[in-house]
Amino acid sequence: MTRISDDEVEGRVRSTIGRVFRLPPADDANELQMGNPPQWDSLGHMQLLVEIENEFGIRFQTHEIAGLTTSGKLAAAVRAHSEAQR
Amino acid sequence: MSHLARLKAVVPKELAEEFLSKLHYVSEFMTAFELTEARDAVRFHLLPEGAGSASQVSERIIETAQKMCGAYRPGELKVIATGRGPGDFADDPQPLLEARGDLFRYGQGRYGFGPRLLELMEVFDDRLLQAAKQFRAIPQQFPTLIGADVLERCRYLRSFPHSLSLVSHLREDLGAIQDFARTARWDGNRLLCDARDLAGIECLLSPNVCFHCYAWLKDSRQPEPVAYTAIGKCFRYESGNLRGLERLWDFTMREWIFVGSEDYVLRQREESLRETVRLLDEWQLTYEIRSATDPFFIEDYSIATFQKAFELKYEVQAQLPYAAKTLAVGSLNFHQDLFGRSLNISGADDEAVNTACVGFGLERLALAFLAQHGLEKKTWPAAVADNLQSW
Repeated sequence: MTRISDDEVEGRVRSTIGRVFRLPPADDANELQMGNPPQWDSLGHMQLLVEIENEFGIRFQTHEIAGLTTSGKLAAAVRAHSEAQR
Repeated sequence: MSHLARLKAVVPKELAEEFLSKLHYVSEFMTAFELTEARDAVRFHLLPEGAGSASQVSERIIETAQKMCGAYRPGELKVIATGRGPGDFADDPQPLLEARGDLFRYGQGRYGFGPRLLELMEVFDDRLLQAAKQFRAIPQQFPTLIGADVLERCRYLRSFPHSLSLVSHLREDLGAIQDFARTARWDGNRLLCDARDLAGIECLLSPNVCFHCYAWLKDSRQPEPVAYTAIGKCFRYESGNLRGLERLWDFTMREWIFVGSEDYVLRQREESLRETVRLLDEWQLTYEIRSATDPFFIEDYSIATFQKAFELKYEVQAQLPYAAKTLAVGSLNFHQDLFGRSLNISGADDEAVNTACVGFGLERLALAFLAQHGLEKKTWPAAVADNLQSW
């Protein structure tokens, strides 16, 4: 697997969040976390994780899911998965 | 005739039982089904009048498997507490209770209880009510009917449509009432009538107790944390999964309900857990308390994974020795701010409140107790036996 740069991971995670929660472009520059935007609730969280998994070709485990509550934590988890797959 | 639905993925072993429980809702024509040993196909049988629907049924089975497997993520269920009681009874108490007139079956998932069973359930409920006092829980009583608006706002209609029990009445229309009175008849399985005579659905039979409490608080500000307790009838239609006292359509729940900040409700859930362990040990039951999930419909099944990941639900699983399995007799649930947001209930900080509830199914508690200790009072723990007159 080709290594994706940290900036690219961050950008694609934020863009996936924006797409899943239909955020206006200006909003996806703000701090994004569970509860903010409000659509990022329990169902939204799971929809987002599935989209992130599809975007990067990875699969999260149950024990990870509760920790992936901000865009930064999501990006870090994606990087860890991608590294593990290399 | 047997048909085979070939799934697009293998159903994980841990998901197999729950997957099969959902197949009861796939088609009214399906009479029997089983997952193959490799868990990659479902063999099913149809009623003769449904023979032409085999391919549609097969597609629905595949869709059910895809949605559940897609939302499922592997992960161990966490064991929170265990207890081992001295009960060594091995028979199924239900036929014994029916034979001696303590229990009467009215229909699928519907039972009547005689004085002895009633007294046993009252002993459990008295202790649960007494325990609620340490939380300074305010007693309340709620109706059996719940507004469809409440269930819609709380996402219940979407998350659990398969288990709803809808309520209707005749339209306020003399012609419709006369038509119904003239034509309605029982055909041996169901009431036949003209659906056009029925009014729109305003209410349902309530699936739980705590929703009433949250609906009471809707559009309000709750500056102080508060606890409530109530007992009520609950209704969950579970189709072919309904099984004697183990799984009733119509059952009774005592709940402890907590409303406040996240910190408050989580502390109360922890204290409730300790209190639950004390009660189960007092009743000398063999049990396990473990993380669990609710039986979400396939469209919302991913929320079950969310529940598991965030440890939002614990279940009290009591041993049923006659069946070599366990049965959920209670649960401890943290809803985060779902009801605060859905029903516009704010707390001291003007943010949506968090809620938690702890529920005990009284019929299931009685079944588990009798399944472990038998029907002879002399072998029962004093905490129960000393409070009974009719046994």
